[in-house]
Amino acid sequence: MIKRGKEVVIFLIVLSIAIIPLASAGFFDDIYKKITGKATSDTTALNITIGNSAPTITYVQIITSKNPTDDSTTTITFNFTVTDTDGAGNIDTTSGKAYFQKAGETTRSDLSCSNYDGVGDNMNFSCTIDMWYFDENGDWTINTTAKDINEASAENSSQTFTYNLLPGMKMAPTSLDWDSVGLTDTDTGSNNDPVIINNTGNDNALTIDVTSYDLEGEDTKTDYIFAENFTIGITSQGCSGTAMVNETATEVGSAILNRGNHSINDGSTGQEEIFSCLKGVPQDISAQSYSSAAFGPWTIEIVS
Amino acid sequence: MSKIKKTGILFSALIGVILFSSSIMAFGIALPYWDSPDWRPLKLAPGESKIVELTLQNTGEEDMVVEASITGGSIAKLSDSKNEYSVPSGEINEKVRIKVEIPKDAKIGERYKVYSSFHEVSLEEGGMIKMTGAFTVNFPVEVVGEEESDLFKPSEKKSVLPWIILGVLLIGLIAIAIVKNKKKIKKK
Repeated sequence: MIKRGKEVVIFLIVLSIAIIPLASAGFFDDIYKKITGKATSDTTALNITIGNSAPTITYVQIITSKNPTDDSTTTITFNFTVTDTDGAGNIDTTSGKAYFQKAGETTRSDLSCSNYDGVGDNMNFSCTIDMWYFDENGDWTINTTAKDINEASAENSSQTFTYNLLPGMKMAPTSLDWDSVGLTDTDTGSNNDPVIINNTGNDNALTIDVTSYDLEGEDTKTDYIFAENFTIGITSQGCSGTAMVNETATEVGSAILNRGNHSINDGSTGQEEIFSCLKGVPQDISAQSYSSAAFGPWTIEIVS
Repeated sequence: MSKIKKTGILFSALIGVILFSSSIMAFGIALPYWDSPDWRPLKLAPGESKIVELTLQNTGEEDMVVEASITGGSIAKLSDSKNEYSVPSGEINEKVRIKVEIPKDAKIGERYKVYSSFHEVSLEEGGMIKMTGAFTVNFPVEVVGEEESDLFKPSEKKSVLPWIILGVLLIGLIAIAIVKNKKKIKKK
């Protein structure tokens, strides 16, 4: 009886050893599926992990302080280094990007920095970014990114550079003229204003002063039209504007030159227009030409 | 008759229109210090001085001559031997040097502003009213301690290490000399 019991135990052990591999290999499932007509294949999720080290940006070239360029762009070129312990060959050569960022400002960027040949684990990228004349002065963050061929990315925004202040202006026309004016005429606007003043730098909220001088008769030198006979303002024809004072810098009331892209040409974004008006002429002057030639040009001064 | 004559007074402005109405003047001055939108002053300690470079730019169509002057700030003066600067069309790097000197008795925390004016010197004549452009710009100066000064260089910090090494070397040489001397005495 005991002998039989041993045989049963041994049989069960042998059976288990034989069945477990078959069961785990899906043998019985296959037989079942064959009998039931169900498919013999099935989908399965494969999770294969291949070792990859993410790249890092180990060096960003220091950018010294930069001046904006009046009415134009300042081109800034700099390098950064991407390091990948899987070797430089693992770095995506087209992935180098750089951004200059400042809160409240449009981000300037190079989305296709050019790469140099990799050396060891390192690859250098060269980026070129244009900063506009109206970009705000102050510290700008240099943000650089790159990827490896496995899409693992690297980012570095540890550096900043200083973008300097540039009060700048462009003005046209640079002379004012009037059609013929009679002794009894009043409130006569210039025939070639407004003078358009563009802010060609990044200074903000600039005021505008005008220093004016009496006009002397070109034939009879003792006749004058006085600076006080003129007003300058920001609305056509300028006749309700600020009265000028001879040889004195006089702020044009309400005139302000803000920072912005003046190419928008809307009369306010990075732009101011001023109009000039001859309120009247002294009643005892003679008919002749009067000009600023004797006492000098009027000065339109931007006050930062 | 007299009335007609008077009302017939004319300005002959046409010549000016033809000569100058298309003219465009454009220039700017770059500064390394400012007070807006953030506070970025030149920082100097009492008794220190520094030459600050402003940069004239002319992006207009015509060459320019610009006259510079310090209009405010007792601590500053033009450092160049001239006060008129020729700035050709397209030039964006004409330097104007301003020397800023902090009095020795200035107190830390004191603030100054240096004002300077830049006037276009008009070379043209004619027109009824000729106009030129000008700027008044300013930059802030703050009196700080030596270590906060823009002139401070950490590498120039007085180090005692060279003196320690020198001292050790001297002691070593003296020790060698004494030992040699003792040996000589023993031999005798």
